[in-house]
Amino acid sequence: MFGSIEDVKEKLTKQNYLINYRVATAVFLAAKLQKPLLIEGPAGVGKTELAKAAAGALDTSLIRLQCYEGLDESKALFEWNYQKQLLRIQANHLTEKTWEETRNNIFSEEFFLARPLLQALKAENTVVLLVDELDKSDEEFESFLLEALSDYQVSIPELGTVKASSIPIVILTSNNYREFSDALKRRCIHLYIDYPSLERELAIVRIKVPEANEVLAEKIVEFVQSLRKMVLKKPPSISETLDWSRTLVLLGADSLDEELVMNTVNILLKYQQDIKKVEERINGLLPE
Amino acid sequence: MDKNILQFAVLLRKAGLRVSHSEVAEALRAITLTGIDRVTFFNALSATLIKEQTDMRVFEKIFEYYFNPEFMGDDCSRFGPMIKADPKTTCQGNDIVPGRGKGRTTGFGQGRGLAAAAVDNFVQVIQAGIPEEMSALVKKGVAGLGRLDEEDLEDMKNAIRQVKVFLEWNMGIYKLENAACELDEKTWLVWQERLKTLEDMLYREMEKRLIIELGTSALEKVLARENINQLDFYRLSSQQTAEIRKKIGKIAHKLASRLSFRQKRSKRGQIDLARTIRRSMSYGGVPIKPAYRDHYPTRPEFVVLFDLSGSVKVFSEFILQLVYSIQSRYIHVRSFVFVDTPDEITGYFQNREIEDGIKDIYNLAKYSKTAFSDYGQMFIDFNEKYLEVLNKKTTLLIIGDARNNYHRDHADCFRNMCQEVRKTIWLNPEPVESWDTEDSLISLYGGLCDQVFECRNLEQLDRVARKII
Repeated sequence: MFGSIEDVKEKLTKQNYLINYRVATAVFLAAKLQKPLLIEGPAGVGKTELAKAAAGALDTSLIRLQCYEGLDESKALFEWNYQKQLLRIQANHLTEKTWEETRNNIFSEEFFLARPLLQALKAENTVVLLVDELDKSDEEFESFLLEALSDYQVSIPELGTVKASSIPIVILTSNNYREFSDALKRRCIHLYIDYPSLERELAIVRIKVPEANEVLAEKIVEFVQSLRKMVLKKPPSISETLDWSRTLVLLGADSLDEELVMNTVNILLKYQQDIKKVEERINGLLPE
Repeated sequence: MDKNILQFAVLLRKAGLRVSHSEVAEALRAITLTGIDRVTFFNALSATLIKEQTDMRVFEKIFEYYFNPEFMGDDCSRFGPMIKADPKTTCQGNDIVPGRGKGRTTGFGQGRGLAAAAVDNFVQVIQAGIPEEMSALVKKGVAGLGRLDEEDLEDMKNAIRQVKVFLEWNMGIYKLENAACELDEKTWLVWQERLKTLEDMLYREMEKRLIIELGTSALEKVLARENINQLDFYRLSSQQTAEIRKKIGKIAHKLASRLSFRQKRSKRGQIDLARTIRRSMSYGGVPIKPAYRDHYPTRPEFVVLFDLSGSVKVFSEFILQLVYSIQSRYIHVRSFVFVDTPDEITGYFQNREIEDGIKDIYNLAKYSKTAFSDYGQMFIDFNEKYLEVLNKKTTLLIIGDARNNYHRDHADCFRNMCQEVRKTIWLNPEPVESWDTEDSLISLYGGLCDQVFECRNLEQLDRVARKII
């Protein structure tokens, strides 16, 4: 477990995940107050990575629940292995077993499929439960999740109440596709991760793409930072910076020039309008 | 300290942020865990109290004003924060006050030499971009006003303008622009960013000084201005406009998803008897599987008339945004703008960004002959040119203050339009108290409509949008 804010920072840095003091405070509080941590921010700034790094730092496993439209309890919490149950019943028919025996048999652990949420609750040690892109799920699921996360226990009709043996660290991420209810927000520690500052981004590039030489890395980051100052439909985020750096390294580039940038800029920018905008003023944007 | 946090939460609520008791309790627990050096304290409070990024700006502001040693006294925990600041100790900047107190609006009486220095200083600070220098410049500017009083609080924009004159702000921007022409694009972007920051700092410094000099009442007033849910659309700062735009986007999204949610549900409700019986034939007359009535979504048709005359322009733009954010989902909209004659603008928005569309309206649409609103003339022209767009399926939505500049009303033309459509709704961005005063004809026109709403802030807009869609 994390001892102090400094400790959080140190441990996550060891996982090659650089964080600032604000993020560290939020992670520390979430772990200490045993509240879910709701992370918001533009796509690709490392929200999911934070959860992975936290799991790595605590040397525990990461249980991931990817949300999508139509995700329901049975996929998130638990399911009976229906096919296996059917086979069992059919097999029992051929033997002399009574229905009572069969019934007790088919609702046992063997036929039970624990889904991420239950896995996290039943885990022996503290695990990190990542509920990714919660904004993509339906509102009903959100309120269901709320119930499970508020007292860390769920009831299963056949098995009784399952209480968390150790309270997991819960991390929820969102791209702000839709608004969450106030009830959910109230129960969470909130963290907004924005695009990093120049120094931090440079440090991230150095850690993640060590092959890029100093000068190139600096130029890459400087260029991306000035792109973010423009009014774009989708400004490039960290993951795009990293992809671009890797590409440039692969191409054997050691400095940026107009042609090279325009040939590879589609890695940074995902909209044709944005690319056009940048193309028009590429000269002014390139670092000397 | 506990008491201060509670009071801080009260202030946050005043500024329109939602802060619940459990969150305050959490904040208290959090600071016992983290300690209270300023940065950690700020981080802990923001993580526990603020649940939405758009609220962050306001939070930062209130934090800065409230946990301000000058406002709270040296020791935050010993002195209650609600002490009215002592005017004698807080009045500063005597050395540069040109005309103290009264008569400062008439000018600062600076000599030529000094003026040149001010603008150079400004340019220099922007070019260097050192935060300390920027804040020093802003402090100097605000101190230049001398004693601040209630009037400055009421009309802060005016006070800001005076500071800008004192600092030769616009002149500085002009000089920077010229300098940037010779340099490259990137520096100009950086400078623009810095100018924005500086302006923001100026506003903050001004508010901070006002709060220090005028005490708690000023703080509350400043906070009430931040409550964008209830703020008049006319009193928004540019940052708030951006926030409102985001919120409107969210309202639109909510409206759109609400309808689809209802449709998903309602399909299960109604039983189609004929089909159920027909289906039951194959089971020997037992209705094993009921058949449900299919839901055919109808797209409500809207014809929207936007008044673009100066008085209601801001409001019209917000509605325009709202309507177009949901249009792609399920509404068929034809929109017209007018000052004294209507012109169709539907085409400007097809497959385009809303900002580009609005820009085009101002450049291309022919909606004004005299630049003064004339609803009567507009109704006549609409009857002549566009009457065929109205039919019994459409809802006619008119956005305007019904101020006719004492022209003839031509209500008969309007009645004619109302009779053509299913429903007529009028949104008036003026406060109810000023309806029917001077040249306003809202009761005359409103009497012909099915519904008339006052709609002047985000809360009302949200409510109205739910009602009519």
